[in-house]
Amino acid sequence: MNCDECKEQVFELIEREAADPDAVREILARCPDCRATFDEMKAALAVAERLPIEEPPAEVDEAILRAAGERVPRVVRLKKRRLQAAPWAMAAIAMLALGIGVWTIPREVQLEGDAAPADMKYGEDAVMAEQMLGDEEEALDGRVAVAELEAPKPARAKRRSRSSANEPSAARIAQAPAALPAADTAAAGAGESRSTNEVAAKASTPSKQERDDEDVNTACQRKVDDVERRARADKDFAPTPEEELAIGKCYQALDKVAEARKWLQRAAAHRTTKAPAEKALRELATE
Amino acid sequence: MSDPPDEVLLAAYRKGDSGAFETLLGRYRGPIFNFLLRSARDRGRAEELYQDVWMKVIERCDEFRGDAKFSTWLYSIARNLSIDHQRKMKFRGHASLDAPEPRSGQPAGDRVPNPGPSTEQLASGALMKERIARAVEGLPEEQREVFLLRQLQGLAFREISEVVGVPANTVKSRMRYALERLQHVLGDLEEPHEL
Repeated sequence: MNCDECKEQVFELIEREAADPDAVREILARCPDCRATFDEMKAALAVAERLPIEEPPAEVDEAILRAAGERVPRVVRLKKRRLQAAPWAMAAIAMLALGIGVWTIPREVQLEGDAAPADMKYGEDAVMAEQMLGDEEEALDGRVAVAELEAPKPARAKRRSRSSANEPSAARIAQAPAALPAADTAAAGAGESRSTNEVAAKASTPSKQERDDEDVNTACQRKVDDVERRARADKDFAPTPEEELAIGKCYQALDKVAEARKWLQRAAAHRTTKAPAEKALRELATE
Repeated sequence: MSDPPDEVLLAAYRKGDSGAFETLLGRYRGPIFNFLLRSARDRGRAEELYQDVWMKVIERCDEFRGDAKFSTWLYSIARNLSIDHQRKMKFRGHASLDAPEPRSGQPAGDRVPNPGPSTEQLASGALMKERIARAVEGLPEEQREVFLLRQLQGLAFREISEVVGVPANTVKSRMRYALERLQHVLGDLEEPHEL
């Protein structure tokens, strides 16, 4: 180890992270220049330890604790989730139904002796297969509903949760209790596909959505009120790009296109939020 | 009995245990506030940022997946809010302490007043503390944040590298430069140390 390497390692030695502390100590013992570097670094750390530590105001801590106490544990939401099977699952079901159909044709012909015309028989089987496919798709929908509820990060829910990331927790939580019974019921009825499907369908009835929208609306309004309050308190105040983005996405979730576009365009004007805001604007255009 | 880890406390809070949140706040209130104070260089702004950090923790605690330590997550929030604040200040034309002054050519942060009295007189005095605080606040932003994370919270260099998003070796270099700079500015306060 030479002096340059030693000086590089001096700080690591003080922080007890040196790769070869003995080699550094050996050089420090015989090189006055390296020793001076060591002393300077050590002295700087000693001075830095005297950095005054200040206390945050007690009333701010109290306000934080109050806000923390007002939060209610979050429960999985079912809101606006579309029950849709994955494409590969749909394809597998179709193949299975087709296989069953093909397998039953010769057996039916053999059992009935004088067979009906092949094309007619096939037509009946095809109808039967379609019915089975329909039933199995419904069953799959039910399972998907359960899977979506249980999965920690479903793809669709992920986007939704990201867009609602800045909503006040209380608003998110306010939506949860309504979703919980549906979720629990759906999970409990996993074996009974039709009833599960009905429950899942009930969870997305217009009245439920309206209630959810009201909650989201309240959350959005609270966000806007907060920004306006801060603007009144500080004439130089300007909402952060993240706040603009959050409000824009909030309105987007409510399908309030004009408001969403206004806020998202503001967010898109900032470098930090440009990409997500433009993405949201694109989504807005396609929606 | 050992104290529960931060991540356990956060999980308890997510389930509705407000006491767990209070414990977390108690653990981090001082370091987080001082990190923000030295970054914002204004007590009023630091108080606002401090409240914003904890509000974000409350709002986003369900998003914490446990991939990183709670402290890393918390300081990432604090750092991002602090950076946003500094960006806003720049837009509004506030002079940066890092920027060289037109007359002297030195950053304002280096223009730390040396009141003259001896080290002994300063040792326990508010003036010395004030001088150290100003010197730390005068560090370049990337050095200051590393220095504060290490000095106030004692975060490991690996954890600091996660918070600031640079390799651990870069973090160590920034820390070393910060100390060299402080030594340059506050050299008259130094004391001899043993190996």
